[in-house]
Amino acid sequence: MGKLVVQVCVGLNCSFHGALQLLEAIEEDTVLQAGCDVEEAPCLCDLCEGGTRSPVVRVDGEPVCGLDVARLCDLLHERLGG
Amino acid sequence: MPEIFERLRGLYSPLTDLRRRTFAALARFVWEERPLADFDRLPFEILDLRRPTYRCCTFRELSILRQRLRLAMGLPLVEEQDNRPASEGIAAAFTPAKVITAPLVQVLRAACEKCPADGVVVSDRCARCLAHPCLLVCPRNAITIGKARAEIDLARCVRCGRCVQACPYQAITQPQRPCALACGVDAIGSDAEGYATIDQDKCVSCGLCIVSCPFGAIADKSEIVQTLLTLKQRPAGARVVAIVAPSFVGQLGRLVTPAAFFAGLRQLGFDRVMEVAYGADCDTLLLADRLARLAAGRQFASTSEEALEGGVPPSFLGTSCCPSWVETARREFPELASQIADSFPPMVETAKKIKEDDPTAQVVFIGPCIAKKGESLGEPIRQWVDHVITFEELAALLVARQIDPAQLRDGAYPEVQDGSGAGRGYAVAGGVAEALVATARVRHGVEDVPWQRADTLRSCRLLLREIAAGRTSPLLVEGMACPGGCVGGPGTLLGLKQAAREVARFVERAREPLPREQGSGREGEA
Repeated sequence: MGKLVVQVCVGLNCSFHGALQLLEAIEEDTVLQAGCDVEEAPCLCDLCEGGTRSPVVRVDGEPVCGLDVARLCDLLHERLGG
Repeated sequence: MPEIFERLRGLYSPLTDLRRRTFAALARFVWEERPLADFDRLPFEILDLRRPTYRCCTFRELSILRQRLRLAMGLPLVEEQDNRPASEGIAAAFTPAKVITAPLVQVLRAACEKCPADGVVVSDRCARCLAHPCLLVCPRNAITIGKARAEIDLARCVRCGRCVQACPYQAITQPQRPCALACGVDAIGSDAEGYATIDQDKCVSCGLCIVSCPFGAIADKSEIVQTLLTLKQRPAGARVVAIVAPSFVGQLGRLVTPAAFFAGLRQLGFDRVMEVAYGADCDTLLLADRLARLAAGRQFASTSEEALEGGVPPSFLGTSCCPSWVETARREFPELASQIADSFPPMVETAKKIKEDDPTAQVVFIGPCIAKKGESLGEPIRQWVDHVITFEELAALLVARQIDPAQLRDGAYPEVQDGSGAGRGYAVAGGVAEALVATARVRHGVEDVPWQRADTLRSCRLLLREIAAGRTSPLLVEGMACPGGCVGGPGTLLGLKQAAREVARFVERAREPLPREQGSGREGEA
């Protein structure tokens, strides 16, 4: 099975609104580490709407906005399990 | 168990969010030169007050936010009990001059939840066990076994904590305030009503209570308004220089290389950006020299008989870069204070260099540190360092201007090369001592310097106590107030481990591993 591609936006708005903490959380979770290809992506989109919907993460290309650590990890675990 | 600040640090909590929104909104307000009358609108731009987000009610929420804004502007706190509007006198903040005054770290009473400061609590996990070790270990006979659980007579209890340790069910806890637990100098107390208070005679502005309070009830003053106005209102020809603490690497995300970080600062309006690792190198050279002399002196003392018998602790060299550590050592161990180096810290050495080259330049220090704000208030340092902001506050300025250094990473910017590897290593606990030891070895041939270090003020005090009692006698002592060193400072954005890794990588990229004499290339000096 291929790995889940997780691109965490680390553009200014997303870094300022928690993206760096998302990266740290994924790094500390061994299951996620094994199952995901984590990339730090520069800001490529306006999905964050000037930071109001930050942080933006793309999971296998599909964007999700404004998730905190717990909800992102839940989502990733769910995707890996299914 | 992790230290209290480790539990909240590195999390992006709703409080982090609130603080950052506040800074960014204020920075935007200043940059767009909106009229002061609009100040009353600011809280509503930061929060949607149609529903309370952070507190029990919008009234409290609004009140706290106004107070936070005042502190963020660098002004003295105005609280409910002062019975005047929080917007009073805010015009005073809109100047490029320094407006912040002590105290820097303050409790917002409206936000303080009056956590119990004291007591020992038996929870319903108590099994009323037959052995009841709690009762047996209690030195004051304060525990009885009640109908449902063990009961503690708080009038007799001396808070020794032995029952907490003894309970096989972890049913007994000794609640402590997160702020007090985080404070390494025991500066947190409470007033008659139970609100947390800070004893400003003890506080050394390390800021760890700010990051540890789960209600965001402690805040510090910021110079973002004055920094922005320094950039905006500079007289023609005057230069504004940013000096950046060694812990800056990766603070804006890993994609922001040091060169892009510096380029971002230049886009923000700084004419020049310089690594404080430069000043760290000045310090390393100076202190390695002293260390060598001290080592020679001690060797002499140990060969001359009974020099140590008088019970006088042998002299050592204490590092001078962390203001909270220096303050703590001087206040609590006056007999050892003279051993702490009186040299200027790297921030000041760097700022001095800039002002020597260009006396009209304005210098803004950007770092992880709140205590540096305090350090820059005193004479003679305030003549060299005009403003101090944290990385978090810097990021707010960038967000307000929508300057994204991550987009600049591929630009052709000159490589950052102001400091040696050793100077860059100052950011991580142990780095200062290692720089000094290595430099003393290479320059002065001093081998095997016995050194010790401590991070967090509590461990710093323990170490000093050991030294004062003569139980240990290192030649070199590195003290740092923040866990893990400056990369663990309250004004950082990046997690501690990632930050330490980024610094290590940047150390490798320095042209020189150790500092070289700065003046050696200059000629014609008077």
